[in-house]
Amino acid sequence: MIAAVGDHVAGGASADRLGVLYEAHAADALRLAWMLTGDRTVAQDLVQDAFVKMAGRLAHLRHREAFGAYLRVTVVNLARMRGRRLKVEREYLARHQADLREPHRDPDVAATETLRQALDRLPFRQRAAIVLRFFEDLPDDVTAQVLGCRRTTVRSLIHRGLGTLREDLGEWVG
Amino acid sequence: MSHDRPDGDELRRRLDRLAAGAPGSHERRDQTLSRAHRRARLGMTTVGAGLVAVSLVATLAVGAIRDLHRERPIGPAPTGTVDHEPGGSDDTMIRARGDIGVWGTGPAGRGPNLSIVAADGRGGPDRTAVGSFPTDRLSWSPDGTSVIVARRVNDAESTLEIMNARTGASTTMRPSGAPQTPDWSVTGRIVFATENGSLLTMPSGGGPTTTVRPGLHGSWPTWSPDGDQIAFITPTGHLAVVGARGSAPPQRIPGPAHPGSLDWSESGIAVSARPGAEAALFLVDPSTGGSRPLATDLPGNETSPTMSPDGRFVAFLNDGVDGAGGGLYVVAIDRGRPLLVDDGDRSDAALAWKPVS
Repeated sequence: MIAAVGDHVAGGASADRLGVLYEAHAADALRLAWMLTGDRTVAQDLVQDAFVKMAGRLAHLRHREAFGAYLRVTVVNLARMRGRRLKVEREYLARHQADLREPHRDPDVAATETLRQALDRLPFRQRAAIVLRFFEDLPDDVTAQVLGCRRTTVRSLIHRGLGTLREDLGEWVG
Repeated sequence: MSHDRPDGDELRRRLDRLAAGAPGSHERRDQTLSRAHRRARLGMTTVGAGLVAVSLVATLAVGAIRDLHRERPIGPAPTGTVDHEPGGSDDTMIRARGDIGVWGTGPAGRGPNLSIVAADGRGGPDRTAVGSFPTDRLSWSPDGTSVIVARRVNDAESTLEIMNARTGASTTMRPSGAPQTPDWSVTGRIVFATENGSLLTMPSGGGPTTTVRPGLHGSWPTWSPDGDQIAFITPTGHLAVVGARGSAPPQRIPGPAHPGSLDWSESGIAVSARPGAEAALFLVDPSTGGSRPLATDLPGNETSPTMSPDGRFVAFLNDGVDGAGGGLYVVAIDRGRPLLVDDGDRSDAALAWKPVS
């Protein structure tokens, strides 16, 4: 999970700072991007683009210690924009169908694959809300900030997302 | 971090297991850091350039204001003039006149909203207090006082919002079918696509919707300049035109492959299409089907074209390369080089050239 505010890098020379920030946050950002997209290549692209965007804004960050939180928002926004843009340009389906099904190391392959497929079927905002709460473990108000909506909307997204997952996966979803 | 939520423990556990299948490491460390360092240096350069610019602006303010007064006509006028490249080059640059509405990233704490950018690149974006939500397309009323956008309510519903561009006063219309990508004609009708791809029209003042043609599906419906025809993108990814009343079958127009968005003026239909790896701009003649690329010589994807009221210019977005060089550009359709009129983060913006009132 992407490190919370204040976890890393309070200072240091600017030449080294990007490298330190990268080492501190890239892996967590990659996991989040992958959970949001389910696509290894796209996740790699998103993290690279998000990090480059953040590098351009580094000098303007009011709270540099919150780099991880800013990076999280950027990853979610880029994932959302990717979905919107691809939809508008009518390429989403082609890309979606071409998603690579990565082999994973989970022993319960069937259950994990079923969960991933169920997540893939969720609209992006529902998926993001589910991932941010149940994977990133964010409270609703922070999730609302990340998604740019109200807390009530977050709850609604989670409620509907859980409902769909429950239909696909069963009552264990909660 | 833990929160008092008794539900979802099993979901959390399974999501963690799913995440174990995520890529173990970012495979582009060196490339990412190389791009990031370039981007960071560019940011610092921008700060330095900004300080220099402040002093230059102070020096040139009187002259610039005089220029603006001289070059900005009042009332309807051609939207272009020949200008010289800053720095004394002999290259000509065609500067457009007028304003471009940009619905995009808002200030911190707000959703995307409307700002106005001068098409000649002289002056920063004039942010309005209109809107706080994302949308895919922006369209002006014929008199340039209001805009219409689609607003997503939830994953199955959306509304059409007509908003006064100055005051933000809005009227909500709720046609069925989750309307999206509305376009406002000179005749006062709105055309939009529904979630399932049907094309509908309705009066801008509200009223019943009319199906353009039963069984017809498409996206990004766009009025002709006279409001008699509608261009759209077929489900198979081609350009087509149909009469506004849908009495005759649509005519497919040969044009660039994989169109994504378009705008129609007296000069033709400006299309952003992705025939190859990158999206590029094309100008299509709807009467002959002929098309030609609008050569901008810019790297990166060119999207969201919007044409000036007289059809002589196209404004568009370019996403740049390596996080640099992107922004809102304007280019004359017949000659000249594109002019960067705003270098803000426009990656999620919708554009519409404001009509001359």
